[in-house]
Amino acid sequence: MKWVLRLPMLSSLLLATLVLAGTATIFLYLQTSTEAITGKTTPIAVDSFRFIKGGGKQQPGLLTIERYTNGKAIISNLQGLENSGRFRYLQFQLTPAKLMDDLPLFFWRSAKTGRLHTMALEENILDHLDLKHHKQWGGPVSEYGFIFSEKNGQHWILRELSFSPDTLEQTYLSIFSDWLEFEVWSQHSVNFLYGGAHSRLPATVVVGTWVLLALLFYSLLMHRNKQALNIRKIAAVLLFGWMLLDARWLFNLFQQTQLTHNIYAGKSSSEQYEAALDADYYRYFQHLKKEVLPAEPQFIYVLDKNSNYFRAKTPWWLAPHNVFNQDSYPRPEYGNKGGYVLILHPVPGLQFDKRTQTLRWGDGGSLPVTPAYLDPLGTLYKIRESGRWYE
Amino acid sequence: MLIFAYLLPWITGTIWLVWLESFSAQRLQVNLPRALGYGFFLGYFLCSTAIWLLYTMFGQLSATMVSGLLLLLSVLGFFLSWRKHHHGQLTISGKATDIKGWDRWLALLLLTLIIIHLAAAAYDAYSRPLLPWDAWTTWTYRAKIWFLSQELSPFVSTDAWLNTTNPGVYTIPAHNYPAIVSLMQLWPVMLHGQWNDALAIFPGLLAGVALVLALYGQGRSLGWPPLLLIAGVYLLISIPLLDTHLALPGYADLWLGGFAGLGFIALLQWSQSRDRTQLLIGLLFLGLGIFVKREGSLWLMMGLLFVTVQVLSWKLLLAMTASMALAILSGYSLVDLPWLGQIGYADSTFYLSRLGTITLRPQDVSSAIITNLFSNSNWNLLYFYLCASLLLVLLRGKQGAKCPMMSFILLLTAVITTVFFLSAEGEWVKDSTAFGRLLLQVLPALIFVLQLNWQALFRQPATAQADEKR
Repeated sequence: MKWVLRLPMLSSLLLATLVLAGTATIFLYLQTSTEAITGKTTPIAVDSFRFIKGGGKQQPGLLTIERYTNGKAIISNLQGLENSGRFRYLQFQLTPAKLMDDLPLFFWRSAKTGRLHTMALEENILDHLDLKHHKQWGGPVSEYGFIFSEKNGQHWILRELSFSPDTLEQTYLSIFSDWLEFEVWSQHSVNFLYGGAHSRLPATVVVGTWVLLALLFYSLLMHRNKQALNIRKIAAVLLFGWMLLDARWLFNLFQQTQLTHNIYAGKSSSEQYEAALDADYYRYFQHLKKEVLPAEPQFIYVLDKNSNYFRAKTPWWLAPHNVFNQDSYPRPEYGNKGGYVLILHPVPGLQFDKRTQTLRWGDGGSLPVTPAYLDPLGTLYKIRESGRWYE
Repeated sequence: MLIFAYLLPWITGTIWLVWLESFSAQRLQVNLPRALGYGFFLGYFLCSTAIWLLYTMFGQLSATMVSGLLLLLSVLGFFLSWRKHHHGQLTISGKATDIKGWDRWLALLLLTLIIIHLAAAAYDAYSRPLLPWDAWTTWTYRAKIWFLSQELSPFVSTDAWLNTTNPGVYTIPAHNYPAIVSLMQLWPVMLHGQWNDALAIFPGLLAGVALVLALYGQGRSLGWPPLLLIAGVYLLISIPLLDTHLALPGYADLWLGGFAGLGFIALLQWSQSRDRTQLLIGLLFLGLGIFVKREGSLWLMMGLLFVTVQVLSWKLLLAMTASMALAILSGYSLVDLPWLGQIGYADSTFYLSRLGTITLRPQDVSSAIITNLFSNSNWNLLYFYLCASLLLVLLRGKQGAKCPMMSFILLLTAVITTVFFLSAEGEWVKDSTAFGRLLLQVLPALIFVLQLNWQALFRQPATAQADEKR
């Protein structure tokens, strides 16, 4: 007790840690299965996997993926799992480090009648995957495996694969893995950042509670001792808690900067677009701008089945052409304004009639057009000068 | 040329900010970080206005004419400031403050972290193609169209566009969003002479530097200890959502953070120092915010209410609240003002002048809001610390600081409640697309409130005379 009173801030921090760890463990124990403590990890020998597509080497304890067929290499384990629901986590070691969505896990309930399920493995520091993220996981699984996508002839080495039940140890590992999960820049980044919020114990909640709990204990101790609060110590604890989460964020930023550097560094603006995820569309629209469309800005009407990323980004890629991208079927005004119709994805009921050189849809709707450019990414039609609207 | 493009509006704005601050009765020296911070936003606003004005007058986008006008404004501003500061007695307060012992190491650590955050954001902002959705559908898209067509082509509604054959008229869903941010992005490429995404959006990153300087400067004007100032700057720049907007610039929320966020900081500073220049600057920035993004009107109204609460006695405020309740009950709560339009409340609808209307439609978004504030990593521990410190200030804070802080937070809560809990806008919280960005617009002020709370709880009351000493 003397020690506690002599080092009140340190004692408060330790006490807060104990209270938080104890509460968290009870909370997690109540949430985990009956095997919370006794559950055992089941190792899966990588030798039990066979190549369905592509090829590679099998050595004791490791499997090397070296060749691809049509850009894919598939390895499969036909031994399956009698009761997959018993396992919550999948662990493995894959080198070199994998990229998000590059390595889907697939599984069948029954190879003959069942539907193939796939789930993208999220990038995380511990190669520790929570299978509960896939609603269909559970029951007997007749076959499972991994689908590798070719990227510059990349070789992969897979080893130390195992399934684990929902034990406390695995839960803590999973939480830690969630906290350090790399969150790549995406369209939601400017709106919110997950930061492991889907974890059973979000890092922000844990650190925030720990700091405030420690300061509460400290205030109570000092009040009991009839001593004044040490402002510098309070400031230090507040700042330490903040820095702890900032370290996690900086680690994410470091990985992001590295990724940006690897993909875009030293490239011109157009080379950067060529290296981006939507490079195919960029090239397609550049071709339209440079080779197909006149230099003067034209009216272009984008028709698509639904709203999506590529439809929304067409005006950006085709600027300064005057793009209208809100319809699925042509409107009467298109004929009056003239210009081009661009169909990015097939729209149900909208067809090009070769004989009459018209776009037809619905109950007699038609627009006279001439095909200007055909490509799997989209078809461009020029509205004929004498274009009139019929419906 | 690019450095000139980025710095010229900044210099112009800083000079005019110095002139504005010269009207203060409380200080003789120029608070350089504050002038640079606020000056950046004022300067870019002036630059955008100059582009628009000169285009309207001469019908062409000319970087030379805009540069000439900005240089002229800078010279005029400098002359006026020089005269106002008694012909050359203008001195700049910018010397490094002496920090000793462990504090020095801590300050160094924090400064290093601030630089790391800014450097990481700068690398991403400069090195990658434009990523955020609204940037390439709205804000930067307009700048690109204007640059490539060399005209400030109008953006109109779908119906208007379909009924015109003029190829110089464009349409986007957000056609009625203010043009200022797009004009800010147009400026560097106008001088560069070639379209480049990274160059266009790079001022967004500089806006982050300006926010940091302004926050530091305002704290210093209140005489706060240097470590608290640096810590405040670190807290601001390490907020992950702000970091993201710096690394992926292109949205207008960061810019509104400069106008609304810094506007509120100036008002909070005034609430402590009673420096009327800060009141003027605060209201000016909140007013300019209207031209940056539509939410600016919301923040201006909140700012006006904040000032009202500070200047009126509690009795008068109570009487006003009672009158308002009576007006609503008796059906006289809606006024139609010339130019401003309808303002008030009637039939379950708030009429907010040109901002439009908010129809009451209660929604339960509490879970989404709690996740956004406390569980996601958007804000580090900001809301944990804000809630705890406000509770402490309420219980044992000094009276002088209690009223401004509590009224600011209560008004902010009222805005959030009205917009997200009581209106259809709540849908935007459920998919987390708007809530975080709305708070980002006042983020600098929230950090300032946190610092004020710290001062109110643990330090001597802030002194308005601090500027004179510094």
